[in-house]
Amino acid sequence: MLSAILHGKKTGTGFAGVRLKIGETQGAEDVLTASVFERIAYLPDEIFIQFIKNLICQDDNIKELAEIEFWTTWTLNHESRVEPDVVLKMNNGQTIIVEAKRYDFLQQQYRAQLANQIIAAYENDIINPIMLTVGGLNDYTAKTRQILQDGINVILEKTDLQLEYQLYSVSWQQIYLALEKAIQIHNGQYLQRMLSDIRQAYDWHGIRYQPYRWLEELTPQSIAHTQLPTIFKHKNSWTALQPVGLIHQHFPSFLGR
Amino acid sequence: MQKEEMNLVLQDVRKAYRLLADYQQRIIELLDFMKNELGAEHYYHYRPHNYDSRSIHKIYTDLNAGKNFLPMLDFHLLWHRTKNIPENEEWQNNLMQGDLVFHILIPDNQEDIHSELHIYVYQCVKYKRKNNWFADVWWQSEYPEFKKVGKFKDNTGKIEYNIYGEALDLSDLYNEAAVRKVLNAFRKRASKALNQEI
Repeated sequence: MLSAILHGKKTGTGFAGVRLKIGETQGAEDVLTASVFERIAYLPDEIFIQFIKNLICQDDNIKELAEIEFWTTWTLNHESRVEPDVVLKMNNGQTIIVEAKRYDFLQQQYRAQLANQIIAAYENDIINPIMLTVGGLNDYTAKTRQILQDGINVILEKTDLQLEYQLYSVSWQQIYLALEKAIQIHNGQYLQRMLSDIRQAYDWHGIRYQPYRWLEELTPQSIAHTQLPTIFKHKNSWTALQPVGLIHQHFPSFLGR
Repeated sequence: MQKEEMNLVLQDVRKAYRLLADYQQRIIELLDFMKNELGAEHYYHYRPHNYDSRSIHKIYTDLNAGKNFLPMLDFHLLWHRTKNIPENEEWQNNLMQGDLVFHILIPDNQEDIHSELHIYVYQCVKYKRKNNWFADVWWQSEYPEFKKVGKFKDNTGKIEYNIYGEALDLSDLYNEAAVRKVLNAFRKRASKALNQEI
């Protein structure tokens, strides 16, 4: 699916007749979410565990992935519905609910949407979920996450329910870096191909996957030669002929009569 | 020159290329970071000594051809921050008072031990497009003294800008926290000088 989209093979992908310019493609964030999390679902157990630990916490509670669902529909208060992007269920019953937004440094996460997903999770017998927001914030500092969490708590408190949850907010870039780090411990070429797919998906969405590289990491080269050898500096004298001011009186025989 | 020494020189050249590539990559990323911090968009990239496709035949006779191929030597970048750009319209057609253009220059001065990044803020007082912003303003205006506000008015009286600039020490811009600190201090001074939040 991803390769077909990236190479413009529209027929059969649901994109037929649609301009594949990412800024104008409706539902593009769903393609990004699927491209990344479908691949995460195929990770060997130990790498999945390491990836989640790299991403959110070193908690020993992180276990093997047992089940993954995309765009699950949950009822809320028996009337409306909510649809988290991805639900990851681990072997010990712990659940990660993923709400993904397309841009890394743009405010797109809504506290009401996240609060509703937590309430709906409890209504679907998921206790103390990990709420993981991906993308959609101006930055990923503890302060910004706390503001989002405070906003969610205000809404949850109105329900009079004691709903425990953990909130983690990461960027798409952090997802890639956590994945790359987890895969480093494994030599499998297939995992490198998987990373390459994800990089292509990020490129297509204009999302940066590598961290900024700063001047402080430049290393001196201790270059010894400050001048190139003469062979390179030698001028072709015939390209710069200068008039020498010869006149008839100086060299009459040379100039002729 | 002995073959052995020649090999050492050529190895140095290869090292220098790597260093240059590494340096340029980091400068590009630094500039991208600063542009995002300033909330600006790319407008123009200008290299004073480069060859374009019409003049590239000159490389065979130009003794400075090697130097002129260095892409980030004495180059200029322009970023604009325009408040109101109606859909499908060009920013230059909608400039109003307080819109900004940032001009970044990394000069190549061999004698100066400090490596600098020059940054100028062009503050729009009024602008009625004649040709394009580059030709209408940048090409005609002069750099003010650092930390002084200069004024540019064109002869039609329909274009007017205030310009404020500073030289930042490139070695102070070595990581994210350092860049933020230097840039925020610059913005504070520029805001005061131009009487507008930069």
